[in-house]
Amino acid sequence: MRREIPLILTGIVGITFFVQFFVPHSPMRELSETFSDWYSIISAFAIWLGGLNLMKISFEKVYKKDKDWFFAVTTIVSFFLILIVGLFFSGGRQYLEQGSGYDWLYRNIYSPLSATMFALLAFFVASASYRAFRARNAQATVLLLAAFIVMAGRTPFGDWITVFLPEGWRLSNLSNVIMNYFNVAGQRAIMIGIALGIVSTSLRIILGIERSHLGGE
Amino acid sequence: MGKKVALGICIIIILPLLIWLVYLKPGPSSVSYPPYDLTAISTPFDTAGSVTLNWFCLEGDNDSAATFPNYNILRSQAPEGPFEGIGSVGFEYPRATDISRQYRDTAVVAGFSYYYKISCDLQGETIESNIFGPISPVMAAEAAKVEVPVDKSDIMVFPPTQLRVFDTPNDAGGSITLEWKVSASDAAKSLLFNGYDIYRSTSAEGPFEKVGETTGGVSDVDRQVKTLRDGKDIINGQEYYYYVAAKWDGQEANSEIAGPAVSRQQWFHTGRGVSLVLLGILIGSILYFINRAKAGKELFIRKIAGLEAVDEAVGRATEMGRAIFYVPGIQDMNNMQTIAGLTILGRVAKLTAEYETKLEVPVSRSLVMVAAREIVKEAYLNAGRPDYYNDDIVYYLTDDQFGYAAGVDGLVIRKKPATVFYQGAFFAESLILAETGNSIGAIQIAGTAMPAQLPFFVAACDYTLIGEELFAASAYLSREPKLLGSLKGQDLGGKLIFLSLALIFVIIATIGAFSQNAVISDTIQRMFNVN
Repeated sequence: MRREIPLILTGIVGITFFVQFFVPHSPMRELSETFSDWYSIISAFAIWLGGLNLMKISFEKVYKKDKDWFFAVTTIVSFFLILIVGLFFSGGRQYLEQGSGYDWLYRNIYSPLSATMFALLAFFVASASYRAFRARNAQATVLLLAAFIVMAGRTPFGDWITVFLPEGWRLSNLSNVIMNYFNVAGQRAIMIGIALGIVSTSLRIILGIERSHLGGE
Repeated sequence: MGKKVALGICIIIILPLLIWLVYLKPGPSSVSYPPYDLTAISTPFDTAGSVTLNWFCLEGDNDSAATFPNYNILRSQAPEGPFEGIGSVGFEYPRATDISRQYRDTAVVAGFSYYYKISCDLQGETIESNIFGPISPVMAAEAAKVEVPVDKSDIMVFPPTQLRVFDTPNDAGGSITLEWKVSASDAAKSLLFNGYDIYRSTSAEGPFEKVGETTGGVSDVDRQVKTLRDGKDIINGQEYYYYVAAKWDGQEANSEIAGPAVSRQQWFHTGRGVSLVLLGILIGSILYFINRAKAGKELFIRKIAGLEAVDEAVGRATEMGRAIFYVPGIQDMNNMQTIAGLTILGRVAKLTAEYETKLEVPVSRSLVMVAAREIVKEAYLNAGRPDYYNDDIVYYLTDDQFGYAAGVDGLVIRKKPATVFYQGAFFAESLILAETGNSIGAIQIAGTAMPAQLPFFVAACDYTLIGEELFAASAYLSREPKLLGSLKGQDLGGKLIFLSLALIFVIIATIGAFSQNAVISDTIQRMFNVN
């Protein structure tokens, strides 16, 4: 029964959503809304599982003085700091309101840290591009040329070095051709494959053929 | 040969069916008469009785066009004429809005009907407007019982016109859609125009109550109409009447009353007919091949390098005595990519249990943590090593995107795993994760169905499962006949038939483009316009 009940529930919910997509009439809409609400409620409760697991593992690391245990201390301090400030030190306001302690932490610590992580992407793009655009063989050379045309074509420099060519052959136009035709064609082919894959996987799960996500073979 | 014929017949039958399904007549469009789109109303509040005309300026008639020629106002008492000039509007005349002009004809007699048109001699050519009429001036004393002097240069607000009300299509009832041609005073960025008020009643005689309001501007540029859905306390089966009031600089102008409209539930979403047929073909094909697979037919599946490399990657970690990291993306269990990613985790976990290699699964969603634990536990059990399992193999970091990326990066740098799997849904953090893994020399196998992230994974990882390969992983790794059958059905039923249809429609669309036949291109566009 441990396996059958989830499979039956999955089947019922999956078929309901499938039918609701084509049948707007009652009770399909109400049923799908109810199932969506249930999912949201379960997810909201599940956040406790995650939070408690994070604290358990972090406390264990500190208690056992594992390697790099001081990172766990940072996690614990941050966790409780934001929790306590949000719950008890909002100065009579809602914790999300502008000017609350939580808002201060969000704006002055969380946001800059997030932005820093995102900013690292620029350096990683540079290092990944350097590796990817090496002309090791014919295909990689085509990739390198396409990348050069697209990147140069997106800047005034691209048109400046090809100003002597007819307008259609300038780098900005070639860049657009690559992006609008070759790139879009490739992307669409991938998207069609993905859509078919999602339908097929969904069908396998709804029919109970696919069970590996429940821990089965 | 027989199969090919059957396939051909199927397409021949399906194609007309598809066209029939989607050839739904669009609702009537609003009527506009470029370049002037002349309209006229009996001037409200005018006790003497007059007619106010509104038209849109010709190109070049703007605040700085002092030399722009005058508009000539022509009037007749019959639509066929003769029209005689009754006045002109020049540069100095006050503008109604930045894009429109108005003229008040006070030389009219209440009770008589009039027809109007505008003409302008521009660059040696006479440009004429549509003929608007008949319009009869009504004296305000009769109509509104108020006496407000109206000056010749006062700007009047024009009402919305051509109001249509109808049951909102393809819904579960409880909603009526209103559609109207916007007021002539509804100019973009106008500070004086204050939008529209919607009034509703259950009787044409009223009383009407205000049920909503909306801003100015058109909702549908092609049809030049404003659309609003009224879902406020609508009872299915009840008749409703509406009118719309345009608000402009303290004035209001009401449209005609439209109705009755009755809200009902629909049994079938007509805009999704094509999706149903295509989905039916795909599902039929998948089920057919599953049955074939169950009957013991050998099915050929091409090699997927990324999945072939799973054993090698786990073996490498074992030889090096280092851990394996498995990152299942940053989406929750309601995302199909996460589920597909977790199916591969089962296989990886089983191998790590057999080889006694350390596995770590940092996750960003609590539900994924629970599901992943179940999968890993079952895999260790199946490998005969339940003693080797503990809950801490799968652990939660944070729901936050970059917090999670920072956490995983830190772990990768400190623990230096030999192998890292990225299987699931990824966004901007994909390259941050993959480049960090690459920097420590780990063998990396990625898989995602996020097209924008695929180039990053291809650049930074050793193997990448591209889109559909991620969803095929479960069948490929397990070699379960039913799963392989579904994979074959997806490939043949889906790709072959869909691509054949795509090719046919590309040919039809190309013929339509060259023959400039709008019906063909419109029909194809409507067919694939998923609502």
